[in-house]
Amino acid sequence: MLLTFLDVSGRKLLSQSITGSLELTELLMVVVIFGALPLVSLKGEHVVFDSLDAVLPAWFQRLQRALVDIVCAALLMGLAYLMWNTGAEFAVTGETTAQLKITKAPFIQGMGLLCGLTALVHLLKVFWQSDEESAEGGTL
Amino acid sequence: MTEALLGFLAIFVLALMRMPLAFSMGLVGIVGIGLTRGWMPALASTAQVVHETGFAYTLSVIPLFILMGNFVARAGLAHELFHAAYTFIGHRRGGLAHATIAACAGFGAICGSSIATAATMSKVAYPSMKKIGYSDALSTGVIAAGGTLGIMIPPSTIMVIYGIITETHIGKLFAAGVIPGILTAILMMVAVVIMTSRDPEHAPPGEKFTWSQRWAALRGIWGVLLLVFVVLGGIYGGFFTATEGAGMGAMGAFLFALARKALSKEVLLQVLIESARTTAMLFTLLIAATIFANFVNYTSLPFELKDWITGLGLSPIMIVGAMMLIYVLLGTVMEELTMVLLTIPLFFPIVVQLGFDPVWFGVLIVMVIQIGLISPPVGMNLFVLNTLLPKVGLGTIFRGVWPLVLVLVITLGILLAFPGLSLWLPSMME
Amino acid sequence: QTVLTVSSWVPPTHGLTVAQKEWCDALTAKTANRVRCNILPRAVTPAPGTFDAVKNGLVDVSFTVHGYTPGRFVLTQMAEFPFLGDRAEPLSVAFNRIASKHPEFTAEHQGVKVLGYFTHGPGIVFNTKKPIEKVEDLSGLKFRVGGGMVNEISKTLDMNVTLKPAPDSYELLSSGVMDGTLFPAESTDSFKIDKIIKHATTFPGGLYNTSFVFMMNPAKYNSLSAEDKKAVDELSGDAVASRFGKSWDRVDDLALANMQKNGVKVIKANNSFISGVTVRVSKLERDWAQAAKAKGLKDPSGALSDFRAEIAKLQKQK
Ligand code: NA
Ligand code: NA
Repeated sequence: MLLTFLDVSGRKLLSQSITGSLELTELLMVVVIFGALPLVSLKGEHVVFDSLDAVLPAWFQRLQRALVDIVCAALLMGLAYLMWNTGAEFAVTGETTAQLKITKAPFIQGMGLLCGLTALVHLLKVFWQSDEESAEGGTL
Repeated sequence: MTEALLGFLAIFVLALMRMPLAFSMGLVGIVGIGLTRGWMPALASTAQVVHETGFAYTLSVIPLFILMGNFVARAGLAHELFHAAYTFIGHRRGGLAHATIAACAGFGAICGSSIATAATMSKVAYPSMKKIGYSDALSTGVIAAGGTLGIMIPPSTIMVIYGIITETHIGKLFAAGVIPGILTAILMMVAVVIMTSRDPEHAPPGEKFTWSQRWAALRGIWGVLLLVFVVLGGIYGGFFTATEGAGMGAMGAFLFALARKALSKEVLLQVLIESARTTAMLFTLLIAATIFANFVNYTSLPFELKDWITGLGLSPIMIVGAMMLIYVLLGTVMEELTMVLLTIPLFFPIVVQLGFDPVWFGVLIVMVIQIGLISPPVGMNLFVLNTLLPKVGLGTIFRGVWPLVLVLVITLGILLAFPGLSLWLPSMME
Repeated sequence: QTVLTVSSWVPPTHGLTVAQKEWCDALTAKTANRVRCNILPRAVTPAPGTFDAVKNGLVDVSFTVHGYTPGRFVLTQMAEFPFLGDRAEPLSVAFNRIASKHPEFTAEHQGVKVLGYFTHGPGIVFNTKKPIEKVEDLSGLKFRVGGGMVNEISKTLDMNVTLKPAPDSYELLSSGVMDGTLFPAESTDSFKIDKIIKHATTFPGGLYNTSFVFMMNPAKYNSLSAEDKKAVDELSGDAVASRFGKSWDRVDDLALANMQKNGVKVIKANNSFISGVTVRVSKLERDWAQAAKAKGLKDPSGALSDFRAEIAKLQKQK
């Protein structure tokens, strides 16, 4: 999916401005971000303040993680519902991108669906906890 | 004011309970807006922030620079850099440590991440140092500290993030990092000279190369130079914007990795997914930080905090100095991205009100992050090295790195005292 | 005391923010301090989200550009055609009068209480490269444009354009990625490109314009007492158009003087250039009339000529 990013940038070099390359980048970005969100949650890559882990007993940490995952799942579920409805509103007002006139509504509803999927991931993690929480890489 | 402070407190409590920072900030932001402004607006603003952040073209620099860094790390360009530096100064006492710092600086010019720079260098430089008998403490310390140059020397993901949340010109931020980056590298080398003169047996000299070997090695780094030239030259030469430059850089790095046959289908897929995950993680944070900032915007905190601070009677530079002290102390125990995202909404408006240049403050922020990344006990670069070099204990790494933490703190002081070091290059852009 | 939360997505010193602040002060005075504004330190959302922000009660009062949300507003594009008027004030008042006469305009703004419509000053072609004297000159350079009708106008003129937000202009022009931009005079100052611009081509009545709306959250409006509602009403409509229009005219004048100081070469488009543009854009008026009809406006062409007549009348009064 990110390959298309390269495609857009590559074409930009050849013929300076391709109609709507900017908008395609935006749409692709939405797909990339929300498409990868379930994976981030699955691998436990969100930035977490884990300095207390060393001093807390294992049973407490297990309970703590389950609770956190439940809260995250609830939040994401709410967000999923919210984005789905927002997308539906966009469908009514008919808002499009400026140049290519691509309807935005399906993308926003897609955000909602993927947030919902991420919520499910957190729910699953309540029951199947993996000890292998990877530290976030590549960011800083 | 009370509402906002309660908000900050709530985030800290949630974060301490191991709730991911993004979810803590988002939740507190939504509840905060809900209580102060109404639940309908709270939900509506959340939906708006989520979809606007997703559709923001300027933010596409983030995935593109991340992608570029990941390709560059695979393309093996770091090896040539290190080798070139090695052939020139490797035969001197501590020469390999100097070569490592120089290679880190060079690699920093094509990679926007400190952790990636340190991780790549640990694969390239550590084995060479080990072979000729460098102490583990010195070699890992130098790699960890040198790696932080990755975020000061442009391109830099952290500068992009700072530029976005504070609406500061990213191109100028990049230009501002060049001189401080080089200065940091030089001061680190000075520190290495001092350290190795005190106990030379930790850093025996390497082999000496002939000049023809040196020139051959220098020719080997054309790939790095080309990428630097294309991306930074393109941005400052007026061929494309910072956003487009990131795209060109990612493309160039991809072609290099391809030409070096470093990309099998599996590796490519892995790089893409890895980059996408990092992007998604960062955007979750950006979205949550925006929601929380919206909440703070509704409260009277920005005005009252400013009144309070100006009422203290400190000189403006002392106020910034105090902020930096807080950052350095917090940075020892906190994850740096968390620290910055939490405090920027609070500190940035004050700094601007005091009449300081946002670009200069951005450089200072990068510097405190550099310090935090290598200051024990919680330093990401140290952990990364510990993970990649399991035979070297954390204690050894800590021992090797602390003199360099000191060097970075001194550099921070210099940058604080002489804003011209940061602002001269961006002023040339006018 | 009722507090209205107010937000602006342009800098605190910009003419729009100032006009909005003046409106607030006038309201506070008129209601004998019963209603006042809390102007937020920074914008509650970037420009395109402002309409929804008012609709959903994130803020109570703000303004937006119709073109920033493509696909939503058709009728208001009436105020964005070429050669409409030289001053923002008469143009804004005429626009507000015609739009208020047809309920279909209000229907496009479902969910907000419209306080008034307005426009900026005449749209000008700016560039850093060469004088532009005829239609053909337009196609040689790369231009930045915002959204809305100006996008369609530039396309029919065969211009090589890229849609980018106004705040990106400085980076695009200073780095040479773009050669020019379409702006009202004022924006050269507020987006700091006044020192980069070398050439400007002006058109009588402007090459394009941009329609704005100043609006309020309806629930907030309904929560006001009858007396306070009346105060808001008295400051709405033509009063808003005139206030914001005047503000644009003032900053336009300043910017034009600044341009002269900076040695920008200003060319007035000659007759053959103007007629060249007129021929090409006539199709856009037909397209608009069709789209407006589809949105329920009964006689779009009639409304457009009423609009032009009203502008002419108001300009004569000046
Ligand atoms: Na870098
Ligand atoms: Na640290």
